[in-house]
Amino acid sequence: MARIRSDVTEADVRDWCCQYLARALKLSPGRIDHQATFSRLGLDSAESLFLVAALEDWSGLELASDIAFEHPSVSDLARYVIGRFDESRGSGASA
Amino acid sequence: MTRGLFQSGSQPSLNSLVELLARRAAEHGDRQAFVFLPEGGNAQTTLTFAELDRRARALAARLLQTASPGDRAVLLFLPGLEFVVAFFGCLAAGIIAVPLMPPRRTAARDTSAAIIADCAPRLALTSAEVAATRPDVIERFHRDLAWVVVDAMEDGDIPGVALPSPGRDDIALLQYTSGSTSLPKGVMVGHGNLLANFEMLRVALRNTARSTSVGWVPLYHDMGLMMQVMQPLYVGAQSVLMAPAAFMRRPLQWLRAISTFRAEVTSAPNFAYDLCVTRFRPELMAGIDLSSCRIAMNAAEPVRADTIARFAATFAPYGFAADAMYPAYGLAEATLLVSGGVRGDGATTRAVSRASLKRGRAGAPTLAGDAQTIVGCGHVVAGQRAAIVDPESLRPLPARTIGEIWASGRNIAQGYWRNPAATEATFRARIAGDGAVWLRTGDLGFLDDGGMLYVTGRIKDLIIIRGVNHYPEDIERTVQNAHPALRRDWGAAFAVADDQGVEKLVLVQEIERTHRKNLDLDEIVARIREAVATEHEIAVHDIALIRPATLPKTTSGKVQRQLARQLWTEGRLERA
Repeated sequence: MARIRSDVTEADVRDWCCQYLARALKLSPGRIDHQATFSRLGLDSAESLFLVAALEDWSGLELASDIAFEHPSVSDLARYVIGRFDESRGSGASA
Repeated sequence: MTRGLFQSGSQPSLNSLVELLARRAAEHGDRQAFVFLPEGGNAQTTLTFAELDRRARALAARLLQTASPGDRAVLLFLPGLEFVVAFFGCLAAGIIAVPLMPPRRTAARDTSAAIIADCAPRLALTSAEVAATRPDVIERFHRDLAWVVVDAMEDGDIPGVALPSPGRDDIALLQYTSGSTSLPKGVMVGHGNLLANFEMLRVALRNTARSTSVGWVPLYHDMGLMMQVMQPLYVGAQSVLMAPAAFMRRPLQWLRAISTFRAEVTSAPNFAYDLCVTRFRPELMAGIDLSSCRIAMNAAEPVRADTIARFAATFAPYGFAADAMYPAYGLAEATLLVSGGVRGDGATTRAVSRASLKRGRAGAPTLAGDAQTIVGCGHVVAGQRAAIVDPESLRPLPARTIGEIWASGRNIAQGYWRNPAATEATFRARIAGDGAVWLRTGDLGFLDDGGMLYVTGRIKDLIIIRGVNHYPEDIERTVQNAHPALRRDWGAAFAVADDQGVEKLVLVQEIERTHRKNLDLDEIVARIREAVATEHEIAVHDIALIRPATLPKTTSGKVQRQLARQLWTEGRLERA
């Protein structure tokens, strides 16, 4: 597992998600509504697993397969990921 | 040859999978039959042949306290060994197993409710994990189903109940991969059908008790259930199972498992081989050696020549032998396999003329731009027959002529559950001058002069994405329910190949005349995307909203999907 990023903000995570979704769904990043559910953007279950895998690679966090269902929009997912970063910093596990 | 520990020839005297499991337990009970590799760092779980036999019989006795032989039980499991125990528990009780895909949390309507209405099960089998993490699955279904929680790791007491001895004609399972959401059709697979097809597979694959298999295809899918659970048991081999989501997230972990377990056999739909190439990264391949893999079955969706070439080229440096690629053709109505290659021969490709294919012939290409490379799905396996038949006149067609693929043999399933009309139409076809009863597959293809089968299309407008069958009627209904401005019965769903040749979903849908003013088309498109992703798990490639009364229909009012597809391809639709 890659090193956990410790220097990113919630906005960075949102930007990353938008860039990823824009590539995956062939949309322009500026047109992705942060509040829209992933399924509304047209992400199917296989694509959501690819998103989780890419997010793991980028963040260094270990993530459950269903986080895109539990946190189904760009803003929800970014908030969750930042929470996980805070936990890992708190526990000192990021070293 | 003496009957030693690794003796694994044909099993002619068997009458059922129950006898097969008992024989495996008696012959080499302590050997590992199944391994499940969990995601993350959790420890793998295992079952020996004896443990599986014992736990299946204990479960069977429990089931018979509330149900009788011939009753149905739906199986709703997350990936793991509980499904395997539950499945064989049903068989040992003479209860018909009905494997189901657990419905997605967010899906409002899915096929499982219609399947439950169709097969009227007495029991629903699940795991403690489903009960704890997916209570919505249990909530969703009729409260009058008796729920049984299956534990794969514990030996229960065997109550003093006599277990039945199923025979070859008894139904082992209903496979619900056919039929639309509203009208599901359960293929009745008997013990005799299973044993016949596993023997055909054994002869074709030449796999033995030493032929470990690795797979991640869901066990409610016919390929997963047959290739990863029952056929390995038939030859007495170890089967290593992975979760489908684990593969989708980390495709190369599939290859790592093949290497770790020195697996000889694996099987997956075509898209999986593409995904491995797309997600290939040398640093993730450290230590992986694929030289043990002798059969990489590619089936359940169209097999593509460039996929095979790219996979073989990418993984040759890691020991993958191109001749291990094993294109095959089958369907649930034939238990699983109809045709497959010769072990060690690799894939056979053939260049044909696109123009002649459109005329129903597989002629040689005349111009460079006219050539299309197609992949052979092997020869009809020993013990089975296939014919290419004109679907209108029902006359057999000569070699290199495209027609409907028909199959006949002891592996052909008994029919569709409580659906005599569909059973008669599909399973009881006749060819003039031939005494056999034939299965109509609904797939189109041709045989070459050497008897190699090529699959070229489908009679019905069935859409196959990632190995899953989707009925256009179901998707069209979802679209039309997504927004009030969309006209009922005036839409078409079809698949098109993208520039990589991968099938993608396209929707053409009319707007109601009364709604044409002041419409937010972006909003409608977003709602359609959301509905289709939620209900069918498909990302839509393109949505064309068109003007009223411009969708092609026949004079009798049937949507002409192939014509709509052609208009879309040529950019000739009248977009709203």
